[in-house]
Amino acid sequence: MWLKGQLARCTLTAKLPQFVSVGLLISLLIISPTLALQPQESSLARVTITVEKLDLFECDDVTTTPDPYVRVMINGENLNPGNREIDYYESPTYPRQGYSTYVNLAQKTVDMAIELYDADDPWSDDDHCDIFAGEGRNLALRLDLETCAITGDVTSQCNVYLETQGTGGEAATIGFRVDVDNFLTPGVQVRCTHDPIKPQPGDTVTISAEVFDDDFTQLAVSQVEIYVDPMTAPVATATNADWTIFSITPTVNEFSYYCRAVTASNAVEETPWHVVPVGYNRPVIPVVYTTENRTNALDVVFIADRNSYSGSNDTQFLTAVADMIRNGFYGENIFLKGGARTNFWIARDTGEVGPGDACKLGGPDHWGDSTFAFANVGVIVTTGAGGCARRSRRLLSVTAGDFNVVRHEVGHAPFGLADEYDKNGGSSCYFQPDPNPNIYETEGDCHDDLANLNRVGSTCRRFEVNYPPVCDGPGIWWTSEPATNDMMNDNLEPQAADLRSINYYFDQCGKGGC
Amino acid sequence: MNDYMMRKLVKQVLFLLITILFTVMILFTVTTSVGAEPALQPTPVPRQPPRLDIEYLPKLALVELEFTPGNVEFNSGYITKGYSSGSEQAPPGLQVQLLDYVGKIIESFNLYNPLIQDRINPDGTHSQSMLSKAEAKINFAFVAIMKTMRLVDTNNAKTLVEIDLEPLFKSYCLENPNDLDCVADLVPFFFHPGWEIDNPTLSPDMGRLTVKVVIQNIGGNVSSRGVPVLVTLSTDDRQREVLASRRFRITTALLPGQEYTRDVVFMLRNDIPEGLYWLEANVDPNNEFKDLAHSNNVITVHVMIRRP
Repeated sequence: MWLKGQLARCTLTAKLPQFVSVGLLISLLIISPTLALQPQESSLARVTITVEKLDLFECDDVTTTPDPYVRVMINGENLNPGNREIDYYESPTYPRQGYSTYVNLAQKTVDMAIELYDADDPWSDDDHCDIFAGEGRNLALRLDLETCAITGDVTSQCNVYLETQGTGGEAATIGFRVDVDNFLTPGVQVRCTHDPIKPQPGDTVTISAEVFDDDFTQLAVSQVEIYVDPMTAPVATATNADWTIFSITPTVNEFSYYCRAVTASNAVEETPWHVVPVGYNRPVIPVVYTTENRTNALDVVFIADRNSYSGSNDTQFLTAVADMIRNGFYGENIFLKGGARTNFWIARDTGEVGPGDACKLGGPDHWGDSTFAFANVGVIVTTGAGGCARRSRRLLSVTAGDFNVVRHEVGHAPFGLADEYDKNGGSSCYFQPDPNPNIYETEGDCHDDLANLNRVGSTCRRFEVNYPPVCDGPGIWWTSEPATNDMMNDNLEPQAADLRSINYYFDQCGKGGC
Repeated sequence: MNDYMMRKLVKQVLFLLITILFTVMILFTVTTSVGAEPALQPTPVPRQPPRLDIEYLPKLALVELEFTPGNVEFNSGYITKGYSSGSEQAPPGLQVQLLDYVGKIIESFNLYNPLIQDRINPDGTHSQSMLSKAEAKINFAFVAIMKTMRLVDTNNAKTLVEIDLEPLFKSYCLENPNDLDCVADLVPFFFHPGWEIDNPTLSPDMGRLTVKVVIQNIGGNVSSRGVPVLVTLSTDDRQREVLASRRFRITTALLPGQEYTRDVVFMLRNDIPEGLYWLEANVDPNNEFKDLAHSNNVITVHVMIRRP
């Protein structure tokens, strides 16, 4: 009996792996196609509410100037926390202020709300305008991310101009649109560029779309596409490829394009529109224009060093700028993603680096005046020694082709990061950035921030800097960033604290704070 | 139960368990894949490219300060159309504060000390020096409730310079009268041939005292008709007792630079003592109409009354 039982168990035990194997095999067969459909992480899309028209009508206080501001909520996030006003100038149909954030596509729907106020004099409460004829003063909307349908107080579609008007004593009109674009898929990156960077009438322009993984290794996807306005179908499509190109000879004074990658699982990675003027002649010329309202964008102005180039039309300078955009900014994940909130410009007049001192920087004529007041940073491109940020003047110097250095210097301005090294015996007026520090005055502050940087259990390293007599402060600093392979140390990869500052900055752009 | 039956039973139980396991796995994979599947966008929805906004620009304030060691002075400033770069990170110590009409801080940001000059030495090391003079150009998005820009030394809690933005905005409004923020700025003053600037002498004629009131628009285009003006004559003592008052309305909308003149006649008692009195004109005394600056809506002058 015991023997028989043992035998039976042995027989079953012997057959058990077969059952399990068959089961696992069948399971894998069932799971494999569904696994292929799933992205590694959730995909994102940018949702933007752009206010295009305001008429305060009854909401306009007779005793004070019109000072409208909107409170836009997308996915529970207030995108105008400071109640920043919209300029209500001349024609009230042109405020065009954007409020955007990225949402997870897995959530299927996004709730949104729009409120309109007229700021009153400091002694009174702001007027809460009525922008919806039904109950309540605000607009409550729901966006379906799969169909782009808008429901709630308004039934419509995304990417369509909408207008609503309230009734009663505080009635006002608001015109807006809800846009969904810039789909992002983890593990997929699309670089979308054009050449020549500053086209002139008659030039043939080549648009390139390249697809990479997160390590910037070329990645073949189901489709690589290029779109040119006003076409709704791609003008170029490559199947099972990692790049495609398209040539165009613009017949109008500007053209627009964007690029898109579709994976085997139909996940989409796409760039925003790039608007390119043709033959512009202004003191500052946009060469890649992604964002209409400049408070929604990081505006980078490239300036030719007059000691290096004959002027801003020097082909060597234009090539250097194209390379700086392609390999400096679009050559690093976070700046490539941030490209959706970055405009690139070229100054018509030249600036100057040095000579003999990469920190001695002169902007073009009127730098600091209204012509360039919008610029978050001016990058003076030189063929000599560069690599210095004059943050008080929003100017940088960078040697042409030095892509790691341009990322390091923009880390300073506008992203507000400090150097994380000891200056090799030199001195510097370091300070702890606030918010989002990457260096700290005390070890305790550094430790307190470790959890925020997902570095619990890590240590903080100390470094010393000679403090010059012209500025106060300690000479000993702390950071949890690595000592090597770090953007603000050896000019290589942006690390956790760097990424936090850069992401924060781009988030502020989405709120009109750039 | 014999061994055969036992084996058969165990086989059946095992088969059942594995079937259940398969079912659970299938259900799990199906539900999780549905939950995490990205929204498919094989065909993009048509959308507009951004418009190059070179015409429809908001208001921008630019202020130039001159720094010397221990001192900061206001050089120049103006308000124009354009975008501001916004504030960037800067070390603590110098703070720009933007205040509204009741002195509340609307916005603040730190400013680099422009006197500190960085340099890269021939050996590649960095060093700093203090300049003897440097300019700082500050820009910020201007909104009409902004009244003052202040630069504060936060280490020593000391205001280094304070700039009234109102005159800058008035200059802007004269060039851009159609800006909806550029409402009229009605300013009253008295005019009478032979008056001194201060302490004019007036003589009632048969008990009637006539003064000439002029209202000028030194602001923008957006002006209303029917703005009330209150003119009073009061005693020169602590009580400031109102002896006579007249109210009239400006019957027309005033364009920038335009004036409206009105003779105001007070009927005085015959026994009014000679001496000093206060004469006051107050435009829109109850703040019922838009005005660029309510602070200049009142003028008060000392007048000497003598009998003929």
